[in-house]
Amino acid sequence: MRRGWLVFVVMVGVLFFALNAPSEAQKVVKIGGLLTTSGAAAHLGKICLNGANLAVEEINAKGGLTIGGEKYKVELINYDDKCVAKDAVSATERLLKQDKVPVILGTICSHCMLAAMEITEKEKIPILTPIASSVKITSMGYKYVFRNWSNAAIQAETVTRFAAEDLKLKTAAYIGRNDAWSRSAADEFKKRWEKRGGKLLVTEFYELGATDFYPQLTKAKNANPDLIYFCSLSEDGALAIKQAKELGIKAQIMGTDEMNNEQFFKVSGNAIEGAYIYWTEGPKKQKGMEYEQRYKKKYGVDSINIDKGGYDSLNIIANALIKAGTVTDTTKIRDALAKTDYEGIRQKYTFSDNGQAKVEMWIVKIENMKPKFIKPINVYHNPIEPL
Amino acid sequence: MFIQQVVNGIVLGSTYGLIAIGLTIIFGILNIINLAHGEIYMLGAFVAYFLVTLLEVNFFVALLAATLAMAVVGVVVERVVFRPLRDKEEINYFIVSVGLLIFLENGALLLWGTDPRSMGLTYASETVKMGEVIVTVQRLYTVAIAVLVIVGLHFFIKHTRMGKAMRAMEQDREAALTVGVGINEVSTFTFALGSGLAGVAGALMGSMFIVNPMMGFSPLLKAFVIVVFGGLGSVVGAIVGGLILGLTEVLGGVYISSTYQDAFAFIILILVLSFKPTGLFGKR
Repeated sequence: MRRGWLVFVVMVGVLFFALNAPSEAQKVVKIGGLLTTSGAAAHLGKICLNGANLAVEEINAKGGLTIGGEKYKVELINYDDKCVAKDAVSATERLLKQDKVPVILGTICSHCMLAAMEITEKEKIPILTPIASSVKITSMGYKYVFRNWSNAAIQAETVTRFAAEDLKLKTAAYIGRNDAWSRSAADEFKKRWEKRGGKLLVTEFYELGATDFYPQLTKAKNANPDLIYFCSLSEDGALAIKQAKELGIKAQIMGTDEMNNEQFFKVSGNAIEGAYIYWTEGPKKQKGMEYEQRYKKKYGVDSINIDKGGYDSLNIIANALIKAGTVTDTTKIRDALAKTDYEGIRQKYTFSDNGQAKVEMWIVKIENMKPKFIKPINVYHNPIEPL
Repeated sequence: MFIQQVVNGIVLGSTYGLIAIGLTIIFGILNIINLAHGEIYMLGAFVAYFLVTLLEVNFFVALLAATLAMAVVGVVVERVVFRPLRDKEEINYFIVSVGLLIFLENGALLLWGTDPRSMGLTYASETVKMGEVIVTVQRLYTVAIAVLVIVGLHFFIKHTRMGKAMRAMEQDREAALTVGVGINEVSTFTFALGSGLAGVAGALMGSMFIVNPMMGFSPLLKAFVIVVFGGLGSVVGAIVGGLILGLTEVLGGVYISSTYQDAFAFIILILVLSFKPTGLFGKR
């Protein structure tokens, strides 16, 4: 009898609290994140996430987004795909089934993007990648896929044009990651290099996470090319270029925009001195410099390029949500993204029909262990092969 | 280029051999498959890394310290993790070592994050030219140290009392117990030795490449494969197997396909086991 009364009282108490719960809880719009924080692209993903989180913080500090007449706070729910396709798939499923996000920012690695895209396209969830560069991502006609960085064709066009026309180099070797991005880049590099009259002597790939590049480098050295292009990120590229120097390779080194940051220099030492890399934006602008101070204040480290990419990407998504006026109609959000006309801190963003943003490419030289802007390359003007 | 690649392969093979020896003696003498061996290799690298970068200790002193530290870790692991399971089914060792692997790797990730670290040894990248072949100083040291370790191990196993005890335990555990070989002492020592070897390998590899919490998994996999196709429990098998794998990976990677570099280990494994199921030098 005692027990019965106790249960009754507890239930009444719970009911009381439930009925009196504040019905005016702050509305939240969830943005899904698929930014790698461990594994073979951890550096890129973590820094990108920094930028995105800073954008979220600033939006919420101003009270949130006004979407369809209601104020929403933004919450970025990020899962680590470890740069592994199957983890990207399960993370995507989680974002869609468990967190029910209407839009996703990610992924970093191309093979993860290609895997995640299959799910998001089927479920009609727009997904914006801040860096995954395989050409396939925007060439398969998927309507809900967007990219606001350069892609492998644009990168290869930039690099081969500069190497052939400005540096007047004739023979090349390509050493790159064995993943979707680098494979796409290798095809594009070969196509464009050979069309320009160059000879591609050696093409070698290495596994993600590899640390010993002597086999590939020895083969490249043996062919004696004028130029070696490394399609690598910070973790692998730094070691590869350092080892190239150890082996006494004298070829001109060219690489990617992940070869101009502290983590890279720490591992590569001055082996990177004199290398040329592609860069997906021009020299700093006013807005960019102000952002850099805010970034440094929050994170204590200098801003590089990909954090700006994450920051702009998040804001592009926020902007699309406002324009769409809904947090649930994903087709409207997709349409709003497609019509993006947004002035970010890196550039003005608009997307072509296939979801690729127009970008501004430059060649940067590492001189005295610092980046030096050399010249812009307008890839849209007479590309040697269609982009 | 061929000689250069052979040298590349020998360097790689030496490090593989070092890791594999530790794993194989623990299995051979104690019947324990310690999958956390790769994590001890990783911890050895971190110990050396912190000594070199924070305390500016000479690398070889750091190497010694890492070896001793890992020997201690091995003793602790044996006592705390494996000894309680001694008289139970052997599969338990395997299971518990997986748990230890997860614990150590994630613990390291929590403490030290994912960023790869470089020991920054300036002399390490200096190169020595021997004819057409270029080797870095550190790679030469690695091979030299591997040889020293193997010679030392051989001497130890053949000529010391503990070495004899370990051999006895490996040949026939019951008989060894009957003649008074102390199983506790042998277990402790075997783990100390095996883990110390992992520490040496970790510090050496870490000095040539990079140090991060995930660095232990891939070498563990390769060491495991080497131990199996070299013959479970065979030190000679571990050394020879390590060299075979190192050479195959490099030469296969260059002359056949670099894309399949990681697959060579498994191809060799399948080939060897098809013809000799106990492995090249195995007896079980």
